[in-house]
Amino acid sequence: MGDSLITVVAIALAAILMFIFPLMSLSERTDDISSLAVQTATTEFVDRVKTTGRLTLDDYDQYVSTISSTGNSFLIDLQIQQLDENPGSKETQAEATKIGENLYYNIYTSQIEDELNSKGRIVLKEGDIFSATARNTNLTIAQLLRNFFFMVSGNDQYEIVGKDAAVVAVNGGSR
Amino acid sequence: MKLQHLSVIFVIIIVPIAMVMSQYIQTQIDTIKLQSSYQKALDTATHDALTAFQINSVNNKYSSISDSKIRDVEAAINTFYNSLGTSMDIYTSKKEALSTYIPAILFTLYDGYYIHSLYENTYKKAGSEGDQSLRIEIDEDSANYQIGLHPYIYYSCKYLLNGKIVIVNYTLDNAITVYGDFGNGEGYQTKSGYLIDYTKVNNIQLGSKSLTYDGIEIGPETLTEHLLIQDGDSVTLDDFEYIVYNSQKVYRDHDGRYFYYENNKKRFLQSETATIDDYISNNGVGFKSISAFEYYYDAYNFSKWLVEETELDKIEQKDVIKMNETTTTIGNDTEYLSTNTGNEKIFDVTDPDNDPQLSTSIFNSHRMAIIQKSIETNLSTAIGNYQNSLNVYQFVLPVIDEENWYELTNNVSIVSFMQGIPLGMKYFNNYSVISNTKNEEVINNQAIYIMAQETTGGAMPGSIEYHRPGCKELIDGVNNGNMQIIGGYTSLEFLRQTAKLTEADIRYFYPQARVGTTTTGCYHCMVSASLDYNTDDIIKGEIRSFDTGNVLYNESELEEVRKMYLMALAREKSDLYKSNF
Repeated sequence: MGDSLITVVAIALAAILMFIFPLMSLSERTDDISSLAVQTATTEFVDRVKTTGRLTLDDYDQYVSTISSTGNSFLIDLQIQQLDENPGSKETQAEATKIGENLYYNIYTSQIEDELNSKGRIVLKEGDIFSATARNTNLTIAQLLRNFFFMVSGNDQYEIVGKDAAVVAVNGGSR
Repeated sequence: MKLQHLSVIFVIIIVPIAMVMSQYIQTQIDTIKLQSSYQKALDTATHDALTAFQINSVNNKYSSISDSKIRDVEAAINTFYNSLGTSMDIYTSKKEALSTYIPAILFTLYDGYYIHSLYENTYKKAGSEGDQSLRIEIDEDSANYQIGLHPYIYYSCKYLLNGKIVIVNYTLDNAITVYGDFGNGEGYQTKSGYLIDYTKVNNIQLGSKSLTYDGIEIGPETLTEHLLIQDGDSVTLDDFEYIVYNSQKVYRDHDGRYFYYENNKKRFLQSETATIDDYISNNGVGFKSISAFEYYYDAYNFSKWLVEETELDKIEQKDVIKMNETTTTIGNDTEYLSTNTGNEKIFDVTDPDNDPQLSTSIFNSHRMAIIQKSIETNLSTAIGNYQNSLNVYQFVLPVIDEENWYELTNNVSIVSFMQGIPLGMKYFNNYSVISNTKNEEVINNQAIYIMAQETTGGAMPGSIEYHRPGCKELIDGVNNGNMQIIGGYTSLEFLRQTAKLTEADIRYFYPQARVGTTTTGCYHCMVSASLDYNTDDIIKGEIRSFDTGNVLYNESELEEVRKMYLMALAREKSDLYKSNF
């Protein structure tokens, strides 16, 4: 009786050790590598917009294609905060140093995509803020296993994410 | 062997593999994070350097003069190292320590560029101090290596024309200088000017200082600036008309006297008044700027001379003499330059596809390719020769992508290279290109803003907005009569100016504001730039849809905007101080 119990436990342990543990470990590493690739692509994408002052359809398509090559599907959030220094209108104020109160107007992913599709590019200016976030929408193997074994609540939590933001450094030309 | 034993052996094998793999990936992640932080530090430092150059050159009246420009460039380089040191948290380190990893910094300016890198100082003092024998000698084997600015390199290219060498110096716009024997029997000549399609210039009236360019009438115009004037304790903001004479703005006071604007005060002209009066009298158009007319008239003469009186218009890409070669041309090597213009004639501006004012012209493509080749050749040599004190890293010029080359060949830019910093499993090797349009070095096609005042049909009658030339709101507003164009100036004129009256009293003003009304940037083109068409389309006089290719605005619908834009662009280019023209 005692031997049978130990054998059953040993088989279960062996199954976990020989199959589940390597699979979990490997899938976790795969997600790490995907995260790394997505973060790198996001940083490059944002840096390009920062240094050129232009967001083009080509750059955006290339970014989407790079992160999709990790084999996951992504939800991409883009945001542009457009700086309005509104300079001249403040000139009549008594407090001269108040010139340059800044406002930001935000435009988001769907508006940005519409504009990219219709005009092929969005021109930004020095001082605008551009940010991009990519999160996976599919469940990766690591997530599935983790949810199954650890009973983690919130199955829709993302695993692979890349995010970056930058203040645009130049006035983009409307060429 | 029992199953338990197998499990233990399996664990012994798998666990170390998993640990090593995990460690390896973690190292890769750390490397990427470190690389990103270095890249951000490099971008920030380069941006700071350019901002420093912009502030220094805009506020330095003598910035165009070579010595003063070198000072501005060196100040920008100091800013670069300070910023980089701060970002990388090694501020206490000296510039020399950081420069170990910075093989070169490139400054592209209007007609040439500086490279800040290692050079061999062959100058040596000889004789004794305080003695007449003290002199400078050249010691070619000095091995005295220093980091500093290399001599200024012009964007020049040699061509073989009828067996003789001619040299063309390019700039960031359509201005060129040509040297050589051009086969017109005049011998060796040197001429400078703006290259335009001169066949578009007609009806030249020297008396009234007017002409037509591509159907647009160019003539004298009244220019206005809004200045903060300090007079004793009183401080007023007022509008004054001005002209540019000898690259300096001369304002006219309301009582008719002329003055220069210096340190927030009027400095009235004394003995120079007669000279200004003579100049105005000779112009015959009153106190108005004729710079736009002069630009087109001079460009017409230069371009016509080049095409009709010399054989320069026959030059093709194959006639380019290779860099560092005496007479060897590139011939049929279509890959020597980054852009292959084939058998097209580079300087034949009468070709409809070769209007040098357009960014898509053959001249412009060739110009950018020549500048790129020159920079690549000299930069790769400078970086390749860079000696690291540790001698463990081989410095090479990284591949710079096309988008960055476009910026470099059209704007004042700074490119910094950082290489050889250990990043765990590899070395950092990247560059940062930052360009800007807010400087007094170059007026490019995007540097002009147009002011329009709302008429009674507009939402806010009397208010003034400034727009980019391709702004849809502007074009529509002018066409439906809700806006009236009142001027066009460079983007610099719309920047906030600071007037320091006392240590505690600092005021701000905008040169293109107007008394009694507000001047604001247009939301659609200045703030969001979402409704802004290409400036090339404005120059051509036709805007087509990106999607369908249908004509959105024809020549007559663009006439008013185009007229102001072409005049302002010409005037500002003409008024720009150029040391070598």
